[in-house]
Amino acid sequence: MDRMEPKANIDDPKEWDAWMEFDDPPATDAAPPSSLWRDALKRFLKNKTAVAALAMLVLMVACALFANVLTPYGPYDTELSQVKVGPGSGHLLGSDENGRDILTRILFGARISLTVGFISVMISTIIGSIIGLVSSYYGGWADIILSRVMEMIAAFPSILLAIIFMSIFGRGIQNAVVAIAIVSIPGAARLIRSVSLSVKENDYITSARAIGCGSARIMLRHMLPNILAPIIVNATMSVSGAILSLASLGFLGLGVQPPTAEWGYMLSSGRNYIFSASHIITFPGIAIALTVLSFNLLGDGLRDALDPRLK
Amino acid sequence: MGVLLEVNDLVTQFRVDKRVMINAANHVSFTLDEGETLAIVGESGSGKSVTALSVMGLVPNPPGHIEQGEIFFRGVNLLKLGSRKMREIRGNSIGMIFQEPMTSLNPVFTVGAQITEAIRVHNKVSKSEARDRAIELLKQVEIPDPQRRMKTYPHQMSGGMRQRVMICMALASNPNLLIADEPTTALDVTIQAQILELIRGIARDRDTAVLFITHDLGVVADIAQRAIVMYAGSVVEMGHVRDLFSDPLHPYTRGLLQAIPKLATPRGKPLYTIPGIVPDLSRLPEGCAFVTRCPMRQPRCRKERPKLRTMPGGRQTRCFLAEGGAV
Amino acid sequence: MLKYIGKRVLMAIPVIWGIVTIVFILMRVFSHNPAFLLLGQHATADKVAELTKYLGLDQPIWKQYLIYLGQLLRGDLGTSLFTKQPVLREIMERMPATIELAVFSVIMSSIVGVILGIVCAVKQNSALDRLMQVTGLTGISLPRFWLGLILIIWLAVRAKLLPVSGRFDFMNQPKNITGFMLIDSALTGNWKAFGSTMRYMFLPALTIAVASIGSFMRYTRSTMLEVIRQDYIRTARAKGVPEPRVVSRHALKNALIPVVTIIGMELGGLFSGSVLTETIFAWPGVGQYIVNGINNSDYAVVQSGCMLVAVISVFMNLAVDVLYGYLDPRIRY
Repeated sequence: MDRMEPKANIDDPKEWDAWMEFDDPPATDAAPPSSLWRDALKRFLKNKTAVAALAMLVLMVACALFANVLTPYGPYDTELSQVKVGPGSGHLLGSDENGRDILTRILFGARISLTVGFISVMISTIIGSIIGLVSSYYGGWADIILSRVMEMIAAFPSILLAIIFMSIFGRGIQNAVVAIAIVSIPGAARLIRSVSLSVKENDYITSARAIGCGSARIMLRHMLPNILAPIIVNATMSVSGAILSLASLGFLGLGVQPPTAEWGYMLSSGRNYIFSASHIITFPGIAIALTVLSFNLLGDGLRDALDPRLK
Repeated sequence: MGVLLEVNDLVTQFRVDKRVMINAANHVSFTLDEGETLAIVGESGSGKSVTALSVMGLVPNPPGHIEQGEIFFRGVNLLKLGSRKMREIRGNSIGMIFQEPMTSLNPVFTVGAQITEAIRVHNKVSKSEARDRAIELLKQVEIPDPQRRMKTYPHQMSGGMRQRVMICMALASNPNLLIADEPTTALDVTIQAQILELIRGIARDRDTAVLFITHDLGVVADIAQRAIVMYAGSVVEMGHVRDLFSDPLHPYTRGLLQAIPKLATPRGKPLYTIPGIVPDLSRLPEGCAFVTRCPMRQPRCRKERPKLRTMPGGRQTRCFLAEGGAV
Repeated sequence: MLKYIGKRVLMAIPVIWGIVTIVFILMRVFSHNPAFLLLGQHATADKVAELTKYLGLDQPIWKQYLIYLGQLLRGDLGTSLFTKQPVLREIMERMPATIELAVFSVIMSSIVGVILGIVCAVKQNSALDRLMQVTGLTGISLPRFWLGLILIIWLAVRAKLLPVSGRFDFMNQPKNITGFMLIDSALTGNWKAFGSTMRYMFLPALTIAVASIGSFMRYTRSTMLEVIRQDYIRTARAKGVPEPRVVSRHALKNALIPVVTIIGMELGGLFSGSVLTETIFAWPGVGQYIVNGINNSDYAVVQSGCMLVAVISVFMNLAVDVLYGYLDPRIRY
């Protein structure tokens, strides 16, 4: 048997293409195209620790929302016959120096911590995103000035800036939210600036500009969706930082107005009784740690799910 | 001349997913004689680098591991050696240079420190002796002003210079075998030619065997006596470079040869490329791996995988077309 | 190298100017008239006007700003309302205590954290690695001021292993030379005082370290994993370098360079965190001073104290940058 002649002349691409077309296409059982977010969700659901953290947070939010239904006591109900009672029946986690139920105060404290955490992070993320996008998109002087200002704020160790702020403007939830938001803006802005700088180099941004999209539209419609993943991860991690900052301020007597049930303030007022009634400070601290840990684990899980390269 | 390296039925697997394993090197066998230069040619993902790393015992694990096979080096099966004995061979009787000279040198140590380390790991010599030898080696790879170069850091050198330093380290203990994994790919054309010339000189003067990995068939003619063509993890053709060029047996080799730009190519005629893409190794077709791109395929190629068969003159090819001429 | 250091110093100047200016803006533009604060609510209008004039607060704001900068350059940070002492002098007296605790804790936690991080990286994705990752994150998540209290309850009050608070006992106090008690007791050969100082320092340092070890460990692990994938590690293996040496020399030196920046950040964080830790352990440092200022509404103390700590953090970062340049040859030249 002689050598087989090729069916098509391989020197002529046209002839070959024609030949290729008649042939049935190669069978590929490629996976159906799935979106980036669906893939991320799949990866996230596989991560048991992160799912557990999310469940924990959902539980906490539910407890905070239904705090008044879940316990027979009010956060300010003082019972002078029940001062510094240890954990047990009646008061599940004991009572504090004024005879207030600690579990009740922790549940009501969750409202404050979670609210302050979410709102301050929302503010800092939005402002940080705007600053980061603007300075990366325009570059030049806008970038230099914004970056330097951010650097100066970031040079302040965050808790100190919040302390100065609170000592000038006074205690209160709103002031705490603003103080915590301000100190976390530079971190968010720096991160968003650096990721959007790399996104800006992509061809689809150039082509968006070529078809005449305005600057605002490019930033919001073309760049923002592509940097959403790091923004979400950073925001999640920031909530834990914000909750810690609020507790620290409260502990220093610079947070919310006493006698508001707030975790840091509970620790600071219970501090004087660590020798006689250590449960007063034990449980609010565990509440802080659990919340902060859950947000950190959730952030870790989100990062692994949204950016598998970082794993 | 005796056989220096013999690879038998090597299968190196990589895990790409929880449940999916691919054969990056799929039943690869070949031999390399002492002092000979053998080229392995293929596109990226053909398994040529994995084969080289398998010989070195440097397959990244996880995700990769050597599933089966034998690699005899001077009569010793490397796959049976303990990690300690293997380490003594690595950098000592087998040297290796890599594709990226920019990233293959450690940025925080001086060039001199890295070369002397290569010398002192395998030879009981004092620091100053190692230094003298390092300078001598730098001279041999034609680096000007070697004394001064010893004290510089990699980032202060050009790509070509760094590749010379890499060669210098690979030669530190006078290896019998030099594995060069695409040593010129990342370099400018003129520098490429210089490095090729350097490797050719080393092979000739020191009688070192060279396993030369490349995706560029054009380079092969310059440097190697024999060549292996790999596709999708398997050897598809093996033979003398001369024969390979004058009468390629496998359609893939033909395609590769056509893709080399030639001076004689008339103007305006588009450069030839093999249509299609390298198949996904986790979804190889049932029959011949090249069937999706082959201009000469027959119905049979879809169902049956051709065996590597030996032709008269010791050439090997994995194609049913060769059946007619098979012994 | 000198050029590099000079450049870093020059870059720190605008940042310090920024800190000073931010404090000024907060104090003078947003704040109520400090004269009110100084005199209390019941002061007469005459007195307030007099003090306002005395403090130069009736001047236009830009003039106030220049006067303020001039005072700062002369080292005048104002006077404590409570002790009537210059703030700068009081802070400087307390600075060694804060620095000693912070540096001691950072050395302790960076050594432990880096070693654990290497172990995790080498045993990547093992059960041990996963356990240490979660443990480390838990350590980071614990509020330090709470952890300090818990450690006091368990180790000092219940187990009576360590002193509850303070920096030294009067029986074993080294002669004051540098203000750093460990150094002073070592210099004078007073090893009894050295041991006693260590005992006092251990609990606050441990409190700080629990979180710091976690962050050093996590950071070292991720940079090690990044470095171990690099081509030059493969080159080292191809040379036949033994695996322990590949990790300890080729990988670690590259991984430590970014870890050094974390040391700087941790030190800066510890200085500001001293506000909390020093309060709990009655550690006579700057943090405690600032908190006392908060409690006494001593605004000069709070604001100048915070400003000085911020400036010191900048210098810490500067020192780290210089160290970074020393370690990484790509920056040095």
